[in-house]
Amino acid sequence: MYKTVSITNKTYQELNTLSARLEKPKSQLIAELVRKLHKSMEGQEKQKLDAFNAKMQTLIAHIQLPRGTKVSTENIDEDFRVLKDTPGVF
Amino acid sequence: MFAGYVIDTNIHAAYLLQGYEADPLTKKYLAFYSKIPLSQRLVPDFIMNEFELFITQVAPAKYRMSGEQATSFDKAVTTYLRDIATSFTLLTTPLEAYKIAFSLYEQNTQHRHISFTDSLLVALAKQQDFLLLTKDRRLQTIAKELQVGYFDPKFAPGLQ
Repeated sequence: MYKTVSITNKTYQELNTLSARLEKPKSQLIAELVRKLHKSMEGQEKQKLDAFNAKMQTLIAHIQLPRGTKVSTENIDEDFRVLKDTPGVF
Repeated sequence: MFAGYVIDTNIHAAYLLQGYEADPLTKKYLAFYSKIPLSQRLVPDFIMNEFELFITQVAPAKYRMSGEQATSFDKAVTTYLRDIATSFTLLTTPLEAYKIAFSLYEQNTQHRHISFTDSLLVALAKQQDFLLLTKDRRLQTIAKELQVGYFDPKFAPGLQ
């Protein structure tokens, strides 16, 4: 499946030049550029994810609910019914 | 390489409340979620809205938190919401996805009701070729019918 994107005239001209020089279709060049950019970001992404996981696990560990509380997130839609008894909401 | 997973409200909620939910299947969803790079966690505007309402209004009322408990909860919630806004990928909803969603909503009104928010979620995934991460079985069934890819813990036995 193909999608359309809008790029500036200058970028299009440069893409066209590269396409002619490398004898590759423009779509293939874009795919390669995206792949390379993605690859270069992987290391940073992993660091960010590890830092995020560590920070959130600390915060989540400090969450205290009333003793004996058991949570189920099976039916969130149903849980919204609790708001009908809450003054000031809806 | 793929763009990422659109994350349903039930995943965000289960993530923050994980210390109090014992369901083994939920643990598998969360193990998978914790491995998704932040930029590949796609958060549509309407999910942000639903999740914020759930976590700031519904959860404190449903679980009857005391003032002190609400304070520690707010700290985690505020940090998580800020990270969603700054590190996850936020999505706005294209008009085409709304049209698909309304059609889905109407089709499912009679025999298996799904909310308009859920209709939007699966419609957005379909229209934008995103994968779906939800615990909702009904939504997974509809995703399957629409050939929208979704995470199924049955096919990820190594996660725990």
